[in-house]
Amino acid sequence: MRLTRRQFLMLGAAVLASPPFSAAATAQPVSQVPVLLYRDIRHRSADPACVPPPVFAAQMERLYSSGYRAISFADLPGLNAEAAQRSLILSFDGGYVSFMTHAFPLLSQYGFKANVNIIGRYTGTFAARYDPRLSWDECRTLAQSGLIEIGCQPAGMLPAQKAMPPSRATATMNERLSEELSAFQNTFRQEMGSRALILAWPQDTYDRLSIEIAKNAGFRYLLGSEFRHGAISRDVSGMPRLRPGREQDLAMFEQLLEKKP
Amino acid sequence: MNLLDRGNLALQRGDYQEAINIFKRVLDGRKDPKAFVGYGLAQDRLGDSAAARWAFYQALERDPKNAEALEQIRRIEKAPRRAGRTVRRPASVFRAVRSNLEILDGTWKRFFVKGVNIGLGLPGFFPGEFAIKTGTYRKWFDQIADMGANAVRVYTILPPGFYEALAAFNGSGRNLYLFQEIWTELPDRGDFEDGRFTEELQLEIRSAVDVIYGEAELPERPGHAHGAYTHDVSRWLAAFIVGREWESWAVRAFNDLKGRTNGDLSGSFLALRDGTPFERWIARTCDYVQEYEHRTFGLTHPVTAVNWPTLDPLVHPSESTYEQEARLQGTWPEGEVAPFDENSEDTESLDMAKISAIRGSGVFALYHAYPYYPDFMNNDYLGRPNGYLAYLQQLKLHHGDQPVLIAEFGVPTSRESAHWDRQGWQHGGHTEIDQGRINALLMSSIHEAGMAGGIIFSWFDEWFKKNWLFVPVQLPAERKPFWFNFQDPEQNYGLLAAYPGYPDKTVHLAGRAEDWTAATTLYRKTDKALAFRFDDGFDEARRLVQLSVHHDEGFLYVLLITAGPIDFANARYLIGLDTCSSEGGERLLPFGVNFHSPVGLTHLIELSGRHDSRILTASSYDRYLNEGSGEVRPAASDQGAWVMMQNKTNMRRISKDGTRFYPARVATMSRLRFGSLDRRHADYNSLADFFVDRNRIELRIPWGLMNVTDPSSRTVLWMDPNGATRSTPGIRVIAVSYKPGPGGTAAPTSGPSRHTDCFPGRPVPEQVRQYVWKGWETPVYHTYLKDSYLEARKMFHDLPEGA
Repeated sequence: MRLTRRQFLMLGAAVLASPPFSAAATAQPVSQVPVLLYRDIRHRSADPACVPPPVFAAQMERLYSSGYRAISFADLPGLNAEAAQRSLILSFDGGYVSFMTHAFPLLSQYGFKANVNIIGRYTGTFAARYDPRLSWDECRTLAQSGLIEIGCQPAGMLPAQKAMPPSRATATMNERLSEELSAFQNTFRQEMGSRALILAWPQDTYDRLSIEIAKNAGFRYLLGSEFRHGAISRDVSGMPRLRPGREQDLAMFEQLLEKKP
Repeated sequence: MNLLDRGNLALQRGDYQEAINIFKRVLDGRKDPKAFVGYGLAQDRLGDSAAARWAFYQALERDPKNAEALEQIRRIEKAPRRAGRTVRRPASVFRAVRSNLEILDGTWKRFFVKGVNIGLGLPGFFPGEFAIKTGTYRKWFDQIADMGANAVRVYTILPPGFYEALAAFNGSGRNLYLFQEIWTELPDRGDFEDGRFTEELQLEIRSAVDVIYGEAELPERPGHAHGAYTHDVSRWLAAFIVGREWESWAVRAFNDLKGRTNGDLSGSFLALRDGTPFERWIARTCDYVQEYEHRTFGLTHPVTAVNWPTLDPLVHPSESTYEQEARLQGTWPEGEVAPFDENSEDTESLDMAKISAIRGSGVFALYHAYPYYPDFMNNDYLGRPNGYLAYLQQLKLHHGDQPVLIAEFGVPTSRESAHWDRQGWQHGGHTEIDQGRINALLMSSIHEAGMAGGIIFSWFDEWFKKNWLFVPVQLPAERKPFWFNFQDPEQNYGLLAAYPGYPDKTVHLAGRAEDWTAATTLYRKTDKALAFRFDDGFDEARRLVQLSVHHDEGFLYVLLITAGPIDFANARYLIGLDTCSSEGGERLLPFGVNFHSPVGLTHLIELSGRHDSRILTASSYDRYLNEGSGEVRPAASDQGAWVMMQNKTNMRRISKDGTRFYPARVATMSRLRFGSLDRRHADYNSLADFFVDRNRIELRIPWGLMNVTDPSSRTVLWMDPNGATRSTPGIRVIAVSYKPGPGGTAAPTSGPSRHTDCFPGRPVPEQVRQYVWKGWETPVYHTYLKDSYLEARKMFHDLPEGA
């Protein structure tokens, strides 16, 4: 859905009159299932969320051998309390090609589900040198596996924009966000034959208005960028995520999962 | 049975070629006159009386009264000189016309080629050693003809014994026709027209033609066959083949060197229109073959040059060049010229359709074509029900009336695959039954596409060969023929298996106690103690009684015996291996067992069920995951950092126009297949890794899967700035059992560790046993016809040769 500028301003006013953001984001917890955030999987990177391949593989094996199962958002409603104890959600932001060579093969072996959140404008291209991103062909291959759900990561909220002054930046970004998400859903529908349900906020730049814009664009599960344990609520508007360490410390990794909100 | 007895058994059974290796292995250890006699008898039976005579004299040097040696020498020296000549001036019986090769049998008839390629690399030998004896070729020709094949192809000039065997076989009333390749290395400076290179190649061509007519006396040259060639096999020659799978970088360099100007060529027998410099060189070389044959013997045979999809004349839209891809993926700096990369598969062409016959027996096209390589064999034809057939049809359409022979096709029976195929015809990972089924489907496609025939790759398993994926883990390279890597597809293409052990497999995964009589028992427990009892009726399944280890040229075998019947629902096992015997390795076992191994481990075998068992490695010792890090060695860890082992079989590809992406493919190596190697068993599976029989679990682990880079010299992978390998004194082994709880993790016990039993009983470093084996310089093996041979026989018999 593409919003006109007038509709956008009306939506903004409605959101400002609604209950505070924090309350909406944490209403009605239904599950303690943790959400893990990964980005690129490679040996050397300045990105703290980038994990070296042996570390990632060992973390997945640890999940498997500890009895964890990675599920999708769609699995949440049918999850009983016991199963929820050993369930988690894996999310991969940025749409890095390394997902294809270092994550997907392992997830397939373990039967782990995951969501991969791509940046629309980088799809099938690269963000910088040595930084190729997944193409739509690869996204279709992943989706056809039945294990992987493709979601969106809005490019307008990537670090380059974050350097701008917060108040103006947010307003400007939200305005652009509406257009971007609308365009993303259109392309997504053409390429994947359905609409995307998952949106992953890249930085702490979203607000209540951003959330409403995303919901209006058809996104159902909004993944936050706060790195803490959090309950997944029915509202699923800004689920906090856990960022596993890039160092080989599997005891800490397991402790991270076992912490309760 | 000791080695000498096995050698004598091989003699009794007529396995003379195998006997040579067995006696040689004995002689590697001690110069036993009996072994020399056995070695001499094997050589003699295979037709090499010179080698036999030498061996008998060696026996006499050590035992001057050795009656057998004396008798054999007397017999050999009295025997009339064999060989003689089979000189028959034949009519030229083959020609290449109208899409087919034709044979003159009263009238010209279509000859649909149903062939098999014969290599040279017997276990223990490189091809240039020409270890295959005359008698072995005779035996093989019988088996190949029984299979319904009508042709064999060889890659280079072979020793005289091959042609003698072929003449004798064909003289017996059956016929196998020959495709004789004339092999060449690449020119030193990239110039195929270099004077010295041309001179050497033309000499090789003349030699090959002379050899075929039994008119050659070739001098000794390293890596080349030599001797007196006196048997005329020209009557059974189907064609001459020039060259090799030309590397596209070499073709590109030569075309660049010659300014990329196209031109025509008119030779004595062949003409070329609008050919690239390389195509002109090919045409000139093929023309020289026929010109020399005609000048010398008054005849010609059809001629061709080796080609493959990499150089085919088709355009493959799904495959951009390495440079294009690098730019599209952002991995190449703008403005820089990329060096040519061998991963570029569609940049140069060799179009044999441009070459036509002026006179003589004609010219045809020949391709080595496999369904899984290059990637465009899949990616160009994703919408087609049979991509391989679609490719062949496109190829045939290009060549029009020119005959096209598919001179290599097939799938290997290795444990791993080196290339994905969307139809499941991948580059390895096939059972012997599936190999036969898929080879038949490929041959059927070749026939349906209107090709002139197909030649299966290959007749027998060659241990010296190396697939690109496994090159870095088969070191030292010069020792590769000494061991069998079941992991490596290139070593497993044969219809005739060359498999470790003699007279049969060392371990059959069939619950046979006799398989383990020569094994080393590392642990045996007689008391009924357990680390923890659940009293749930399954404690005996979790009580470990014995662990034995055995090995051969291909595998490490492990036998685990428990007190009660194996029941994976209630008892699971972890077997830890430390192949490096180093201070490093992983100590914490997974599945919540919370057991710390007394020694660091490189690998861990998880036995959880028929379909769920795996072999893992320490994350620091996984080659794929640590690629690019500069180090692959077992770092000391108590984290439980285990990982599944994988291979990247296909790199990511991008179409020429940059709009289509073909994902990279990664395959796991960690899954253990349940089954038996006994063909009569209901669970027969030639790829089986383990078997369960009552209270026994038998495992067959390929050396290559454990990063053992050469078991014959006890060398293991150890990549760091100082090198790639190190030697190991042996393999340390531990084992634990546990009761599976919810989610497959270990059920709680009364203590911090949740194991129920373990080897060693007292888990301290001093108690950990090590399996030590002796290296070897000569491998012992046996041969057997794979199930695929039977399938090939059915397929060949069903396909008409003529019409």
